[in-house]
Amino acid sequence: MLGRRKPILRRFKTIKGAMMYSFSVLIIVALVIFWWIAYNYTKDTVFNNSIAYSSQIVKQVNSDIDSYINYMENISLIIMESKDVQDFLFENKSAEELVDARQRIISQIDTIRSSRDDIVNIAILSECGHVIVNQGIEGLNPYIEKESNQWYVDTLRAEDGVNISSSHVQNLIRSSYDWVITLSRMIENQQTGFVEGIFFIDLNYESISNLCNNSVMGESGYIFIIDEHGGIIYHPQQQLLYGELREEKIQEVLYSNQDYMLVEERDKNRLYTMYQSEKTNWTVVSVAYIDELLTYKDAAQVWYTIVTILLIVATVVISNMIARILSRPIGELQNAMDTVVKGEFKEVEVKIEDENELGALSKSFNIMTERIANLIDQNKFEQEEKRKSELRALQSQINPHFLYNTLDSIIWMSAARKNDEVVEMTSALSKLFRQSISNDNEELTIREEIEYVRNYLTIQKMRYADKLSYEFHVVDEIMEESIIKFALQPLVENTIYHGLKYKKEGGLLKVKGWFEKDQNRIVIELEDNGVGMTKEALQNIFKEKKIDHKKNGVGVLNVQRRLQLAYGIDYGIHYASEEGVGTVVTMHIPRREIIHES
Amino acid sequence: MKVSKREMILNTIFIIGCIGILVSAIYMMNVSKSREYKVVLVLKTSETMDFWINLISGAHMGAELYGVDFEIRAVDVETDVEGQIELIKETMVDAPDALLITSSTYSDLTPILEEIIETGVRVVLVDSIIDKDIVDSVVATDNVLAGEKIGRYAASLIEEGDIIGVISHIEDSSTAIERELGLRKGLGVKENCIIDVQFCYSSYERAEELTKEMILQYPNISMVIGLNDNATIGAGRAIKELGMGTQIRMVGIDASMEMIRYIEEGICDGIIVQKAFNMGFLGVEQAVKILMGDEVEAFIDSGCELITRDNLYEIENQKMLFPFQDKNLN
Repeated sequence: MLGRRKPILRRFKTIKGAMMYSFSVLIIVALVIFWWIAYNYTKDTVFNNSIAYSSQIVKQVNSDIDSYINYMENISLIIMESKDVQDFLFENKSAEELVDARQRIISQIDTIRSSRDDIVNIAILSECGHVIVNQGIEGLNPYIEKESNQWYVDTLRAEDGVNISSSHVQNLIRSSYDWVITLSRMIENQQTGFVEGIFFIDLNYESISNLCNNSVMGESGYIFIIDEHGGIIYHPQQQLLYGELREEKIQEVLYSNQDYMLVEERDKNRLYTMYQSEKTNWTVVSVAYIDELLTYKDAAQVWYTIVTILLIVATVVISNMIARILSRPIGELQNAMDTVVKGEFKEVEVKIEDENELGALSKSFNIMTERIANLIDQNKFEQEEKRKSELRALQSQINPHFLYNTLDSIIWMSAARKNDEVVEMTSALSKLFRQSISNDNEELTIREEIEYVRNYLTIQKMRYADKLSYEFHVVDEIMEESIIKFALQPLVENTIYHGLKYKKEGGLLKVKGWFEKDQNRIVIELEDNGVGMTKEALQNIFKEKKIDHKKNGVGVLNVQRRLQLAYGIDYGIHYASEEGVGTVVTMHIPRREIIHES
Repeated sequence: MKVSKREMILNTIFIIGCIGILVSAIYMMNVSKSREYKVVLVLKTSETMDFWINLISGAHMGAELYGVDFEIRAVDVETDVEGQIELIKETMVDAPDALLITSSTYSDLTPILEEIIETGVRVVLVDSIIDKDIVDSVVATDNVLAGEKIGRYAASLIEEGDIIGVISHIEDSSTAIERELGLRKGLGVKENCIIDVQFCYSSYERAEELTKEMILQYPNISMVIGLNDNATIGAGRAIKELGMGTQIRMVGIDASMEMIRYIEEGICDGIIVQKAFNMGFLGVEQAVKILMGDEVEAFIDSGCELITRDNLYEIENQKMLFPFQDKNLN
């Protein structure tokens, strides 16, 4: 059972339904697939874009810092390479000359400091105790040893003699505790070749932090910088880190060999992107919250979803419209077909709007129905023609025996010199013939038909003398009604030859005619008191093979058929007979005016 | 029949579509609509001590991290209790969601705070406590612990039988009581070295005077302990002025630039530094947690650290001691 189920599309009652259903399903499936791909693609793309964006920013910040440090190194070189520095620190000059050198250095430092807001301190110190700090007014903090500062030690050890410190509090200079980044250079005594002094510039911590803060990493993302040992150069939440209220993935960043990493922590996933400068060895790290990055994704995805839903609605509606338009001719064709099934061939022409298969089908349908209609017309015409020719055949068929017998009777009467009878019989015969050839009309009045029967009976009465008598009881009311030609005469003839002929004498034929009002029909009855018919004969009376052409050219069947052709199957003749009692033939015809066909 | 079925399909799809759009619209609205809490920090002083600067910058950091609509209001001097009550009343007009209060008194703010809490505003006490347990949470240095730490350090510097003078700040303030308690606990058996406790009422000058008087009164005094910023600095000034840095040991609670210099110079042997930054940050954090309906601890110790000459310039301590406000822009 299950295996033999009909395909889904075949189970629809209408093609329209099938089209709508399948279109809708296809569209929805296609769009949902598209949506799913777009949805996931967005996620990946946004994520990858974020990584790309982050690395770009990190590199940008890094190069900003590098160029900044470069700039500061250049500034430091300007002072360093002046001969005054060597003179002041190492040469054995007179006190006056020393003061002059010192003054020149201070003015140079002053020029630089006044041109830049981001330089906190510029200082030169030598092992032997010569010191210049800024304008020469500030001195060193007497309670702090130089060597206790890591940057100082690092500078002396640096290969290229240059060191950049982490962010720290500058405690070397008296009464200043500024957060700075110290750029320092060792100073070589050109005479001895030993490192005997240090020059340093303290850079405002904010100059670095501003570089980081300028770049936005989403709502709560941030940028921080660490040195090669994992020391924090800058971190927006530095105090939280030192206060142990927050932790930062410094070790992970330091030992990561990729340029980005994902940190998953409870509900907050973060994207770390880092880049290490070759110049400073600092690593700039950007931290972005995935949730925030993906808000763009969410927005994009919401739009994808809305657009997809709208597209689904729109395309389903449109596809339904298309299905309706495409299937409309089928409906029309079906209606036309239904009409045809009911037997109406005229006026079923289908309007042809399409040029596709349905149009061709409709066209064929139209041609077909038209042809069928034509065939029906032709058929009717041919039937008519057939009837007419049958009628003609009837006309010419009456005669042979009857004519022979009649003429024989006339000869005998002439021989017996019964002139009156001859005249009467001949006259009746001539009337009979004239009537039968009088016109081609299929119908005539009952009066004319009755007259015809009367002439016929006149002849027969003369032939059979006492064996046959007849009466007419036809009401005048129906005399002008129409009846088909030769409807009565064959029946009368049949009555005589089959019923009355075999009776020795006293045969009586009553021809009655009246109007049955309640049925709105005309009844003509031939009642005889002949030998009657056997049941078998009665049953076979309408059967063709029983028609005895020799005796009677026109059968009862012929009359019956013609009546029913002309008036429909509700009308016709009916036999009632009893052996030895007689036979009653009843004919029903509708009441209507004579239609003379042209 | 066929028509109604088709319309049903269409209608269903339409309705599904509309619902989908509606749902996503609501979703988008929800995304953009997240409530911003209004939190006001009411300070008991507008003095620019490092302690307050650090506390404020911690609070700002917290407000920034949690996306809070944050505001700071302060009375001019710590002793102006009436002023603080007035300030709290004024603040209530702006309908804040939560208040961070640094109370200037142990008991006088209680009625107004009770009133406020009744209106549904959440209150977090920062730095100091009050006499009744009515607030949602307290973020402060564990003063007993702070006292204990300085006591233990002091005990390591002196011998039994030495004389210790203590300069405290406000006589019945909770911090003064707790710190003294902790101090005595930390000194242990050397507790009886304490020969005198004086109150400077948060005045540098008074603290300096008291110290001088004390040195005069007890010439063989071997240690002065200050229990708050004013007291410690006053004591430091006095000792420096008298040039007795080498004879008299000095320790204290609360840091300042001046104090750091005294440590460098060797006048002061060590100080307990409250983690003011943490205090401010944790205060805001607590307030936000309370407003979001999270369970919070009734008391959070924001912590303190002993700073001596040896660890003064350790990087972790630098951040605690030297706030980088706009100082560097000078």
